[in-house]
Amino acid sequence: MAGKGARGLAEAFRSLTLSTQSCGQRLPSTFSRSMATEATLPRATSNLTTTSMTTPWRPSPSVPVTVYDFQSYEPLCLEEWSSKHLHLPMRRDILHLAVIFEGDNTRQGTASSKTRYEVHGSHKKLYRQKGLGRARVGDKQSPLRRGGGKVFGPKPRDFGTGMNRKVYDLAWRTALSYRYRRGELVVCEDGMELTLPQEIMDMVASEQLQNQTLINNFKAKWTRQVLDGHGWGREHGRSTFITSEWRENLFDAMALVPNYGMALDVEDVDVKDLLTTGRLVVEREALAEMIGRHQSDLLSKVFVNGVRPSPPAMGKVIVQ
Amino acid sequence: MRRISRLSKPSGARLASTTARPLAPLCVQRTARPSPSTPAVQINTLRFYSSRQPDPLPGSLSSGKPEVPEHNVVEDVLVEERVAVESYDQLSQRVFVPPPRPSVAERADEITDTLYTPATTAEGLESIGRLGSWWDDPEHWPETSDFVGFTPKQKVQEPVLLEAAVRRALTETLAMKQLGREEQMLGHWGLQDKAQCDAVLALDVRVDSEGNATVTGDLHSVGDVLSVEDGPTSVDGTYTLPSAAEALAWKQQADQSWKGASLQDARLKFAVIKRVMQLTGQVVPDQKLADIATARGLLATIAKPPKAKTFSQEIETKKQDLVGLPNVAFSPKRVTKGHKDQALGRFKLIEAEFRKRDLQDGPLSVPKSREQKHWKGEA
Repeated sequence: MAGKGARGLAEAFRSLTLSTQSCGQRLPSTFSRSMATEATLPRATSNLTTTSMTTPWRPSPSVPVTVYDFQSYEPLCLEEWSSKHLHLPMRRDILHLAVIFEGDNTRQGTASSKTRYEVHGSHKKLYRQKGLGRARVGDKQSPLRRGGGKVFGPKPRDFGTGMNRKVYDLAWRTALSYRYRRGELVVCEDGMELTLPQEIMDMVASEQLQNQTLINNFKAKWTRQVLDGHGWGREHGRSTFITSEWRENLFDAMALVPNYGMALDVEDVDVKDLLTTGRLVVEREALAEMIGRHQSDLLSKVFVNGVRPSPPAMGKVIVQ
Repeated sequence: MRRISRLSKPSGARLASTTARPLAPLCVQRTARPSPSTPAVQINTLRFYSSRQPDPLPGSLSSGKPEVPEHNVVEDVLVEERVAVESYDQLSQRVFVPPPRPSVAERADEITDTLYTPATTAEGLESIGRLGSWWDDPEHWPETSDFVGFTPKQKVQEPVLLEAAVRRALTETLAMKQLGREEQMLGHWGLQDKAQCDAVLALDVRVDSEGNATVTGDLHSVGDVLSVEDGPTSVDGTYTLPSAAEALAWKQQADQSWKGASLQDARLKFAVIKRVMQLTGQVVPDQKLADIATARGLLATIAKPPKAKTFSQEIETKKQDLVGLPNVAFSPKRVTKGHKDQALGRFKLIEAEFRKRDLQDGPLSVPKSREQKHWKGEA
């Protein structure tokens, strides 16, 4: 991994900065009282104004998100998303829990072996107990014998584990926030689909180009050009495309260039997918759907003045 | 949580079905405005792909062949002439060249020519290659047909050029704002020629004590060129920025106070960043948008040296103090036994001894996996 060590160090330092702290008020602990002294503490002399010392640091309730045109990568508009959706503090432990939870629940758990009572064959004693000069044996299915049963072999079972819904939802938004903070969340306009040159489509329509290998090779090269042009390709750590529905051209093309990333329907995405590749290229609608499905911890069941508080709004347009 | 990948449809019907859907893979090819002065080569470089605002296609892809209406003889002649001209144009601007249709040779036993003698060797036959690498040939896929996005192919990273780009973007955006064309501030502006770029850079930007910037000069000439009324992608030129030397000369002359121009206005900031992205390919991450308050802040955000590809490169470039330590030996790669042998000068001797005993096929320095590939004939 390129520059992993230095990057890790830089990240560790960054996590110590003030902006990443989620606590409300923090007083400077310049002085600490020693147990052995009785002298009065000197007054803190600081260049900071009193307001900056007393006013708690409040993070912005929203973060800006640029919406791009998909293939050209042209910025189209600027939106405002809630910090509770896209600017949560990093919780590595919760992400780990979520990935393990998903892995557990994805296991098939169908491994099965036969015990001595399930192995086919007669259960007759192979030969008599004494008088042959051979070791005493029981039946053919004995675990000691070749072809015999397995003593403590695997049996089909459910490896699935549980996770609190609210924690899992928090993990989803933490993963998205992690991507956002690192500048690896590219939000694109709805209807994200790979556009092929008109000439090629005409050739295919007029049956001038029929060979499927040629068509696939063209798509693959075109896709590589598009991704490399935007810095999303193999050299830049691959990309995961998330769309709200199946997009024929995009999904086919990404299957042709697996080294450049993958395309996923929003139904197929899980936390692990959000963390796998170098960046996420998400359709706006898909992002809203992912967040909308995973904000149970933000939904209050308590009615205030007869009204249930609504969750934070998504995608308020600032500049268009 | 899908773990089993979707089965793809039969490959033959794939494209046909795609074209029939409403979300068909429409390619919006936007070429330059027809002007006689535009060179023919440029037309292909100005292809711009976007899935937004799809233009009506010349012919429905689902129908395959265009319908032929009834017409008279005179029209026939006109149409033929037009088709001839069009086909000539198409040939000169051919962007992708498909392979010729395959033709099947006559069977040897069906040839009536008595002089024909079947060949017994392949000598003299021309090797034409396979279809697998068809599109790698620049004659079949010229460079001018490559994908063109919103950003330039090469990212601009020189600090002086970035400064020129930010200045140009700021001047143009402010000019549009002062002209009252706020609607067009966020449009897709075209690139221009050198004279226009120089004219924009020569305009004076004045910043007051509160950071409010104003452009003075011939604003209408700037605004008219950037007008996006003709369409969102009216691309008039390919010139983006001056050369590094020119930019340096410009920087030495220009007053640096423009960098204090405020970008607190979200609309102005977005427009400037969009234009900078178009000129330089530098993308400003969303989480840094809020921190950018002035043009200087924007410059500081984008003017960063490129990231080192490897950890060793990073140490060599940025941590020279570590490399210079007397008790630290720095090596860009892991030091192995082979390296030590090489340093002592016995590596060649070991190789020779191996060769003598027929134990090592090839040099020791070649990794085992690559050797295995050679044996298998893969590499």
